[in-house]
Amino acid sequence: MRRLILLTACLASQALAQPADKGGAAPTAQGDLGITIYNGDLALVEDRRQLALPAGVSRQEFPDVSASIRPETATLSGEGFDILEQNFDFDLLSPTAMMQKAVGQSVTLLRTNPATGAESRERATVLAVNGGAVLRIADRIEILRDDGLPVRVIFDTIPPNLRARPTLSVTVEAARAGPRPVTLSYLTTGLKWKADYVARFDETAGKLDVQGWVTLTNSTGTTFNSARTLLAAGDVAGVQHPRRPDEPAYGNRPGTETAERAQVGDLYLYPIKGRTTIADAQTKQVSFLEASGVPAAKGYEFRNEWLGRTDDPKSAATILKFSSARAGGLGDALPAGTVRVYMRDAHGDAQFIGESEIPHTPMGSSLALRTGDAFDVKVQPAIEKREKIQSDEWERSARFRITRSDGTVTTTQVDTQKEFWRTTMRYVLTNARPQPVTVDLIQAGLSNPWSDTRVPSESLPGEQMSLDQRVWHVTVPANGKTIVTAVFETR
Amino acid sequence: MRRFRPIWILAALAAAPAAAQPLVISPRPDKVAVTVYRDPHRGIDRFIDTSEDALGGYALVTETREVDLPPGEVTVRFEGVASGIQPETMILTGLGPREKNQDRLLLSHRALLDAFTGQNVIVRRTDRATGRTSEEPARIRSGADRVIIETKAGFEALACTGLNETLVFPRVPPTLSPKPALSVLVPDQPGGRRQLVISYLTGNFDWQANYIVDLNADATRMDLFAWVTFASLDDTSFERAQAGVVGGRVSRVYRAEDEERRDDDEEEVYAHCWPEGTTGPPETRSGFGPPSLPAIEAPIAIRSRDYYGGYDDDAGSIVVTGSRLVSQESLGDLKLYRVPFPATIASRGQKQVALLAKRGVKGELLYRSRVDAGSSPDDPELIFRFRNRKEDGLGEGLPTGQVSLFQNAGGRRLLLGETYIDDKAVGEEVELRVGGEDLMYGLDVDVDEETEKETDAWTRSRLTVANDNPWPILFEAEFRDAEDGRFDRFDHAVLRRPGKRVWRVSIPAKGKAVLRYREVELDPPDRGDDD
Repeated sequence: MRRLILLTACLASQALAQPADKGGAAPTAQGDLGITIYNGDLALVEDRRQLALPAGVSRQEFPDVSASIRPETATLSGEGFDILEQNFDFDLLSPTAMMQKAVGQSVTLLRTNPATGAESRERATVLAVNGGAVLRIADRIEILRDDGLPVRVIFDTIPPNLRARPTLSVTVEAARAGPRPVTLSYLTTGLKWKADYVARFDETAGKLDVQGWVTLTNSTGTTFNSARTLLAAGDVAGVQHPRRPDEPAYGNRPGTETAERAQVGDLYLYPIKGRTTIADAQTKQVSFLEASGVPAAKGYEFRNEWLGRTDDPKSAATILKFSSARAGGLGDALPAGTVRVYMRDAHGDAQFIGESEIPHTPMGSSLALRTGDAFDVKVQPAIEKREKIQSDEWERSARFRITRSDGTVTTTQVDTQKEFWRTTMRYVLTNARPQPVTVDLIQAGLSNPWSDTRVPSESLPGEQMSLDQRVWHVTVPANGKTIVTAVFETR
Repeated sequence: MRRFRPIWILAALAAAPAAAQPLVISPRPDKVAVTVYRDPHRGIDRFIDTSEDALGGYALVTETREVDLPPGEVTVRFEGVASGIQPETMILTGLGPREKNQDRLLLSHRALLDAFTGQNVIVRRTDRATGRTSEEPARIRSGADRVIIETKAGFEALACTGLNETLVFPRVPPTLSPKPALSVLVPDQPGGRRQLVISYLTGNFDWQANYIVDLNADATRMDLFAWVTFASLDDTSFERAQAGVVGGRVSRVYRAEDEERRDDDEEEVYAHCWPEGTTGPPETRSGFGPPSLPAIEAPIAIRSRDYYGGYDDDAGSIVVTGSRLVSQESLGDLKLYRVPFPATIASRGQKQVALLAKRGVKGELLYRSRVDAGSSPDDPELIFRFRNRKEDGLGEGLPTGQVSLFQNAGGRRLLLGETYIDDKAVGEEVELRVGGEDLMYGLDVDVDEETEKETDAWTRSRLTVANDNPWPILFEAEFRDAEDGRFDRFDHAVLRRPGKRVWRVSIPAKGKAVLRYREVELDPPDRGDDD
């Protein structure tokens, strides 16, 4: 049985009062670091160190590797040695582990008399640690601290395999002794990056200023000192994908331009120039893109599910549209991330108006980002009428082939009349803004199993986006409303 | 025209971190603006609950800070930012930073133990009997949760002895900061006094609108008063801030960090000792450190009846004594409500500012019953309906919020019920559903449907509405067609509203009204089957 004892928080006031000058952090054993960080919580660390090897078999420890290392991916490369085995010791130094490893060995007990404070010292042998430490003291057998009285247990040594932090060790056999450069390479979790974009939208001018930042977070438990850092954009197979937003807004179209970035396979590479220290528990941002005066427009979108109707008008989504093309756009490939949109209020201060996630976006793409719902632009869909109609079309619904005993074969065909449902939808679009707006009104759910939905009449010409969705670009006057009706024939 | 400039910022932080550049600390903002956004996941019928650990809304904080910079490359550290800051949202204007950093290594018991692993500290033991203390140097040999120290005598576990013992640390490592701090690395610049503006999003804020509706005696007009209620559970107070709230729905991206971020450094440290030979449950000895965070004071209940503060109870009408209203403006497709005076957004506090006050807004009280094809009529609901327009005395964007409905009767103000409204734009019709029975209006209205004639194809029905109240009422029945049925042949005039037909009738005191109609059966279509 283990006992939890709350250690006391000892923030001695003198310690706080002293100026934070030096030290605390131990010097690192890391060598020359190269880190490639992928999007999905995965990073490749290459650590080039000088290693002085003795001739013959030796065990080499690598402290200060990532505490979130995936040890099965670790490889050591260098000249003039063979690797015999590679160990990753999780066995952490702890009171319980110390006591368990001390079975059969002697320890010192230091007892303190609670009444007088007098100390007495004796040697004991640990016999067993099975839910309580059983000790032999001279010719008596005792259970450690069963009486609740204070006893200090002092161990002579720390067992060799117990460490303060998880440690990688490699057993190698070298032909000759001497220092040599080696490269330790491994994958680790806990290093992530994504892009964060700050988009300042000027609605009257129809312009967008965009700043792109790479946001790097380190939760490995380890600080990486002056590392050459490379960020790879694109999804590596087998890596967990970030959560995608529900359904992209209407108007997103991937581009076909090639950005002037280094590529490896299908991944774009974004190097951070120079060397950077990625401290543990740090969020670091480095700028990678700046574009101003990019043309941008605002639009509205309302998506209605099949036979969707509401008691109250519902807000249309606000959509921000711009391009990543070289001409008239941001002019770069955009790594996946979050776009935060700001607008100036009446006092000229920037206010946040919404954010949206983008996937990896090639250069030349059209982007349509949903930033929020419009307070003043609303749509109320209603089912005006729904009726069953008979068409003049017939279709074959069954065919039988009958083989009689005399060997003759007859084939019978059954034709049935196609039966349609005629649904009249009515959409009331209202605009309480002092300017006219255009709403992309989308009716979804049109692809029934037969895929033969028809639209015999509509009050405004629509555009079939896909088998499933039809869109109308509806202009709603300032402080006014527009009614759109459409008839669907489905089965 | 378009200017595009991809820039590669070199983050040349040398091996000696942060020490290479001079560090300028900006301890607090000189001016601050806070704009609060609603919790996007809180239902419109839900109240802010400040007794929760965290609020789901957020705020945009904009701070203006003056700093004196030495020339050259400088690291500027901003202290006193909100504790719920989302560091990736930070924007700095006034300087082009090369790199922005947030270190979450907070000064804590655990962080000290981690930082001093492998280094020398002092272990201090106090004798319980005599009060005498003894100190001896020690080296921490393990991680924070399992402290093993090395002393002259050998190796031993800390806090497993039953003695009063603790570690004394020689100093605070420079990597640990008392509060979350943001720092930026500024490239070479001439130096001098600079005004910097930083803005960032921060969690743990929320706001809601609270409406108080007072109906007149015959329920034809209402007085409408509304509060903006701000709440903050952040640790930082913003003094004399320019405050505002944003109405409308703002898209937010799911942040995995919010769930993942377990601030290890805020966790308490427990010593995991070796097994002891006791057969009873393990005792947990609390040391003399802080056992837990101080309890949050009981929140001011937003639903409390403190509203009376702004009212003259006897008259039952709104007397907004000197309340200054927030100003309203459009922010893109959202609404920004601005507090017209500097306001302090206190840490773990709540604040109310008047949103609007309108008297004599036209409206009507009515009973409404819904009749859906294929099912029997719903029980009637009591509704106060008004149109949000200037002609009727209103015409203001109404943000989502809770509504308390009162009515004056016989010189007394009575609560009719509580409900909520969604965002309502100018020109929209607003319906307040009056809940609660046995208040002033018992629901003494019966709606009864009887079948008069039935065939396979249709049913002829009769709807009887009986008003048992000793006063006349207005009644509406809403007929809505469905997949499997459709209404026609009403024997009274019905109004067409989007997707429904409405029979609207005045019923005298203790009176009745009857409507005959037909419901035509429709076969539900086979959709989604595979044949």
